[in-house]
Amino acid sequence: MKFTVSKEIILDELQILQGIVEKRNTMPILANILLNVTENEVEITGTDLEVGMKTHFSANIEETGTVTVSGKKFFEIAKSLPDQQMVTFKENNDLMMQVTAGESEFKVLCLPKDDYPVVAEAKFEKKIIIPVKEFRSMIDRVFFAIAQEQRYYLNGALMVVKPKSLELVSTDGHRLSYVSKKIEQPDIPKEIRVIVAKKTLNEIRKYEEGDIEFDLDENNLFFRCGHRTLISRIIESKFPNFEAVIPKDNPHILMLSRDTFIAAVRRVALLSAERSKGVKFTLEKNRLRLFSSNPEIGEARDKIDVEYKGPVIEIGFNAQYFIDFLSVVETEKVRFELKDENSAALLRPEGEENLKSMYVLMPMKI
Amino acid sequence: MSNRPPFSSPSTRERRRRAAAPAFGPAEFDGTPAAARSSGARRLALQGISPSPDPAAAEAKVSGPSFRPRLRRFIVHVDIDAFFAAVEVLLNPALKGKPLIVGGLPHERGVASTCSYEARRYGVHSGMALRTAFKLCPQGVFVRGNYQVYQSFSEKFFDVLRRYTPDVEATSIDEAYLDFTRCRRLYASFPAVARDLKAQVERETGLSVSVGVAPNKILAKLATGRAKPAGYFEIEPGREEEFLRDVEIDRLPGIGPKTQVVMRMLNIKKIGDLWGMSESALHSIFGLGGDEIYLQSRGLDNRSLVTEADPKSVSRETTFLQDLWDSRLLLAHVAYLCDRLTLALREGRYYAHVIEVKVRYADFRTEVRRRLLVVPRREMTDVYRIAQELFLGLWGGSRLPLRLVGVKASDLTRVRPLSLFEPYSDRQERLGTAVDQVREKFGFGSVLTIREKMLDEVYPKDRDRGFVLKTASLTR
Repeated sequence: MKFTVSKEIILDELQILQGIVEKRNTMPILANILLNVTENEVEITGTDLEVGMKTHFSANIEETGTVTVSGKKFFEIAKSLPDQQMVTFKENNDLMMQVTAGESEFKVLCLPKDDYPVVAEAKFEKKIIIPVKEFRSMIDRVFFAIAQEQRYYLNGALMVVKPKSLELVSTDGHRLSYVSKKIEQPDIPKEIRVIVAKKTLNEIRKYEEGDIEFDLDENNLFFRCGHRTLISRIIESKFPNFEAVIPKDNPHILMLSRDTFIAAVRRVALLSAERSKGVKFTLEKNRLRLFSSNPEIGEARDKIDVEYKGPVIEIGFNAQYFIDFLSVVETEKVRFELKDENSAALLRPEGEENLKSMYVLMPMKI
Repeated sequence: MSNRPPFSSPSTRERRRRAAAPAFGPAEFDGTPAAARSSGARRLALQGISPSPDPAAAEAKVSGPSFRPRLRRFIVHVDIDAFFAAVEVLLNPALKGKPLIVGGLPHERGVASTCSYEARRYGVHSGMALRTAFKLCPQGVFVRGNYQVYQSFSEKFFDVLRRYTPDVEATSIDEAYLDFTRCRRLYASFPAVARDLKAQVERETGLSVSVGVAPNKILAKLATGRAKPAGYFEIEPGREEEFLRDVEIDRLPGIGPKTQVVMRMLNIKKIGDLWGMSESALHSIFGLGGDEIYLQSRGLDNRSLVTEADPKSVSRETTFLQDLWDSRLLLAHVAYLCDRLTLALREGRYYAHVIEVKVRYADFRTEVRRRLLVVPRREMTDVYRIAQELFLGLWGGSRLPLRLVGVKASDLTRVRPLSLFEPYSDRQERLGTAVDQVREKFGFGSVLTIREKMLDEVYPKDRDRGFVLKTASLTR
């Protein structure tokens, strides 16, 4: 193979592939990327077997061919070159890639293309289109609540595509974040429910402007934005029945000013226990008291004015849960609905227009 | 006043910086008063104790009255003399005055865990293979020992210590550090309290103990070494250097046989001989260990005590009387250990985020399997269910019998986040509390699961402690 392209063009693609290629070194080939040069374009593929990405760009192509090379080394080489530099990549079926840029020359060992795992071909038929910007802010609202642990089905967010809406849901077993957006997809026969891996969502967040096109087959999800396509294996398990745990009629309602509340929670959390971040809330008429203590450091108290008319309730929460959610919503007021100190509480930004969020938090016994 | 000593686990470099800084916390002995007293030592203090690049600061520190007894820590190190052997003598006075070796019979595999002072005269020491001990001391009395009994003596020992101060670090079954600094308002005189403590321990346990008193752990331990056996030694303020000078080099912890060989080649026998060596010289010879030696040889140590206030983990394990293969009996052991473990968790008001099961096969291969829990647990039913799965996952299908099982709870927390997908229930907690109450009154063995009851056939049962396993809860 032989092609020439400017540093900037290939560097962008290599950079984005850094997030995809496997870093833990379980299978050495997964640290590689696949370069496939056809007569019209150069296609680069990276995968960790769960999430793959294919991207392509046009270049001055002299000879076609396919090899795999270390994703990290190639990225580092491209990055080290001077700006605007034209770079020539050449390999003569001897598994030695020669990279020439001005006076710089590199020879990098390649592996045969047959060793590289097959990444599914994406197909786009359903025409499900989501604007990148909105999808990104939806992901932001669920991303923090995705569990990092062994319960596999939770290691991603549930995506529900209905004819008139798109929903994302995530949970770590102690809290649940839900966001939905109205869309018009009249062509969808019935609803699609799939779990999207955390890594995939993180990669989608890196997409810049434009629209995302989504489709799926039996095993994979496809997200295309411009010349880049993510191919993500479907997480084969059942997402918990989230509708059942969203409280429907919590009787005690509290209206909070988001800024005031989050600032108070942040202050009090400074002296909460390192790991659990437990903060005790005491609800009184039009007042919310916060208290935390850590036998090793000390204690903190705060109180803020709120709109509340219900009975006195004492309830413990993980302060981080509030901080995570309230940092990504934008409304001025937040509605907080409670039942008692052992039941789930619900947070809802008041007066959201485009997106509709709900956040369910379980209390903690302090 | 802070509830905890100000430093938890500073790095070596950090420790050095703090130990040398003139304005350190309410804790440190920095060696300067002694240095200020003798001009010979002054040079030493300048080049060694004070790595400060600013000579003026170092000078001011050496000549000024920087050492204030009020800020001195008061650390007591207590060590039971020849613990297991002493207990055996207490139980069988006929053994008194005889060379006694506890650990096993002469022909058995294994090592001497303790030997009496009489046996030590023959060159026998703990850790020595029983066979070797027998060769050195054929007239010695060898006994297998009874850990259950030692454990109960040990508990009594620690009970007495904890009456004096809550800041007790149990370093082993028969050895502890006490920090009286926080109790300074309670006692008129620390040395008097330390002497009283020694007398009280001896009165209540019938065992003789050695006590070392100093401003930090390393010096206290070295002082105990001087006090042994059955003595009391206090390193008085300002006499640290005088004390250290003549201490044998191998008394320093961390100086093993290999280091000793090198020391001998360098003609270093006493701690005082080390003072001529610069920090970098020690570092280049002994690496990181050299940094440690440098600090220790100057009596610098501001490690705080590791008290039981916040354990990292709780574990219970046991070896079997003979290797086991019967899965029902093995699970009975797992259940019993879980029961003891969850009791300890409830006592400490802890929930565990991680449950771990350990098995050791007949060929001594050890395997561990752990599970991370989304909702932390501490009740018997939950912990046993997890431990059982882990155990069967580990051992299931194995062709080898086992010689040990253990369960461990770690990543402990005092709060319990509730789960979204499990309905809230405090049934398990209430059950645990109820069982604890019954046991409080009628003994641990009064409530057991059917699975645990299988151990009836194997082990004797003690009213208060439940089954008397081979090595019951030797791990603290």
